[in-house]
Amino acid sequence: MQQITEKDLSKIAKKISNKVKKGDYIFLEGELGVGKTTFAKYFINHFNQKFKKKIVEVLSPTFNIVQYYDVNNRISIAHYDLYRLKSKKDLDNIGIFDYEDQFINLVEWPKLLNKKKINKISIKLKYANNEKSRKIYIKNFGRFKN
Amino acid sequence: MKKNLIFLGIETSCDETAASVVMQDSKGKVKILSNVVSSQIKIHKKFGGVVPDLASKAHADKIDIIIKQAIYKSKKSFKDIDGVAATAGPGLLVCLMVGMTAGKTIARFLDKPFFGINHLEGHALSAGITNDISYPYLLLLISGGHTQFLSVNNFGDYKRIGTTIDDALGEAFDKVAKMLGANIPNGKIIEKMSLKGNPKKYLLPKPILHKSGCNLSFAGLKTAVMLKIKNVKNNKSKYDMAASFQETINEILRIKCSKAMDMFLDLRPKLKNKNFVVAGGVASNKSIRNNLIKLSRSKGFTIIFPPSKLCTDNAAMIAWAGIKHYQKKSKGNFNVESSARWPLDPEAPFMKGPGLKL
Repeated sequence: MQQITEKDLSKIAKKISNKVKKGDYIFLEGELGVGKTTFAKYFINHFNQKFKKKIVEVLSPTFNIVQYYDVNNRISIAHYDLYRLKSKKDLDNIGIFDYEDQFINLVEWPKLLNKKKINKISIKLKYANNEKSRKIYIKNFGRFKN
Repeated sequence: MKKNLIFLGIETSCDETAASVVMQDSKGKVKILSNVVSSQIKIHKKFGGVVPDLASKAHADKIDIIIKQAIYKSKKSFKDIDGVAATAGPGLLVCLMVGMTAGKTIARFLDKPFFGINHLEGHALSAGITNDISYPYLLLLISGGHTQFLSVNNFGDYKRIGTTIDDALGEAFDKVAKMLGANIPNGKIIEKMSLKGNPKKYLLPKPILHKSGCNLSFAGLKTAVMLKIKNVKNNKSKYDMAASFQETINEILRIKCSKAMDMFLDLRPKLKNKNFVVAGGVASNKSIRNNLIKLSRSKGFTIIFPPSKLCTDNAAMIAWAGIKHYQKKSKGNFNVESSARWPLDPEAPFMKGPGLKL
């Protein structure tokens, strides 16, 4: 566990953006308003910056459930939000994870997503006593373990 | 002589499965012959608050019934249809594909043109169904999935002058409703709770209020409510929080709409008919409505709220957009594909919100 500011969150997003590739997952957990989409905003735009692309708006995907971002011909990011889904069945119905191997997958509210044996970085954010800071817990799975 | 034009519209971009038949008569008058929306709100309640079965399967199960109903209610038959329009984006891909496939199939069988419509264009033009409105006009779209200011310069010419940089306004309402413990996470409950609360009780932040043009930001406000609500237990305080939240939104909209109006007029200083259209589900909130009516009056704008059945997601606006395309001598396009991301104004500049220092 680490206590961080928004600036630190950006740095962490940058560090992780240098490690991931197609088919990888980043799970983002934590209460409403804690900073999950803020992480996504930094993560996606660190990619854009790295490949000299325009900075883009990263809007909350809550309503649409998934938003796609094409950084270039080879790198696309899928930003999911499963907040509105109630059951595993909803998830199957939507079929949004049918092409996950073609994207870097950022998943907010991932509880319903029961995927074994995936390469995953799990990030949990919590409110801290100080309003401007957060606690962050990062856990690695699959190839990120090594 | 011009004849009546009859279009079938289909909308499946998100939760709603919708179909509609719209007619424009030889004199240019528009009539919605049917407007069927499979609103899932009843199911929401039954299953304890969250969308149970949204998604493509739900659309696929319902689409044929909804279309049949739309045709039946219109008192027309398929052979009367002059063209078919379906939402092609933006939205959830698998959902869009259901409506697009149905629409293309019907158009193919009828040997009529097919149009893939941008959902946002549907909203942008919807005011023209019930109002004889002239271009240009300023549009504020406030719904669960979209929050933007558009300068509608002409048919097919839309300039986005502002957008939310994080959450949509309807989403902020829904999430605050959830924080306040509403059993239906629906922003409409905020309006009701506000009636019993003190709007001055809690001082909440108004992110980017005086910067970033008429861009909007609600994430920080949502977070502030979350932090304050942790100490709020009794109902009275919850009502106060709902009222304070709504009041804060009203203050933000007042400043930002005023800014958007200035930006809109800067582009055309001599404009006589200043029209301001407010569409989207949030536009049904009476407090927001009154606030925007007052503001428009003071700024010399005529405010127009399309009827609520045209504000929320519906297929009449898609049929209507199809008619507009058809009248521009467009032959339609069967090859148009569903597109999850489809900005109405791809040239819109990115305006940095605070905090995005990489």
